[in-house]
Amino acid sequence: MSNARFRAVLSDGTVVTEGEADWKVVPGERLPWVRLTKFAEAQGLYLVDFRLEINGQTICLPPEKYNRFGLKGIPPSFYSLSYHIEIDDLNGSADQSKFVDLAAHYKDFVIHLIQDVSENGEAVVVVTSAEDDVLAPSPTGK
Amino acid sequence: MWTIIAQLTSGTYTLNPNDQVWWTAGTDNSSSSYVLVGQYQTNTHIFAADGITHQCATNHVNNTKYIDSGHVSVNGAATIALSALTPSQCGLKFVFDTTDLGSASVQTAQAKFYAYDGVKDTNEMDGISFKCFGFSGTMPTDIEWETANGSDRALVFADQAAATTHTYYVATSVNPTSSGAKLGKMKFSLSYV
Repeated sequence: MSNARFRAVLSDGTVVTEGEADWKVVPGERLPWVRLTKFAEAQGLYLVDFRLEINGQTICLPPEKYNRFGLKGIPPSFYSLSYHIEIDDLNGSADQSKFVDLAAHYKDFVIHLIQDVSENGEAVVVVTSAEDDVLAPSPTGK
Repeated sequence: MWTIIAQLTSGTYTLNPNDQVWWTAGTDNSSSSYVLVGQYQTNTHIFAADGITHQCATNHVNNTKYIDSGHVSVNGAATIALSALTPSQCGLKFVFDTTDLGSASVQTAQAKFYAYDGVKDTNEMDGISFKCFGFSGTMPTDIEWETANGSDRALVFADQAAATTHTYYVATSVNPTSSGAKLGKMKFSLSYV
């Protein structure tokens, strides 16, 4: 669906990569991320690591055993993934832009990695309050 | 991918990437059709990027004129309550489909529409009051017009359940608060998963 795909590690060690095996986009079905959250919930699993692969590079969100920036020993409560699409300038060039938003949710705040996947655009990191809307969070396993 | 459709007084017109939306007080965009300060437009049109080629010369875009916070006049007809406005009477229709996402079924959230100055999303277009009303599918955004000028005051649509196509309708009305040409951009955005 784009040049970016997620890679998740479940609590039993399973690595799930979007676009591979059972995690391909299937017409008429929910996106792989949503199917993964349902699968993990049914199996009693949770995510311990969450990454974005784009153009051969891997960008990591804080994993379960994150050890920097004062978060030592504090795993995310859960991760989330959403996509964002917009159309800009209806009185001009009508540019379409697409973004992937991966987020690690803690008790009081959320760390978002937002990657512009339209034309290999910029990636930004945003920290927001924990009250952000979440379209499809991974199950909280702790 | 997005498809933007102008709903005309008869039929529809699918916008090209560089088409422009014009709000005027006449059947064209000549100087005699300019909207006067303090008034709302009586006509809505689509022009090509050259600003000359009239894309809806025969049947114009459905015009939704702001009357007051809860009322509208459609194509010059008698005033009705916004609650009586229907999606098909709105001038603009935005269709988001997942054909380039492998035709997956996606849930949408936080769909928003607003005008801005073309530089920064939070900046309002100068010298204009930009009124909007809309529908997420058949669900109205509110019971009153929203002054959706700048992203902080965006028109917000209801979330939609998982599907391969998501449709939103927007009625617009503009009122210049100072003289001179008013230029800006409009943006529609949503999140999905």
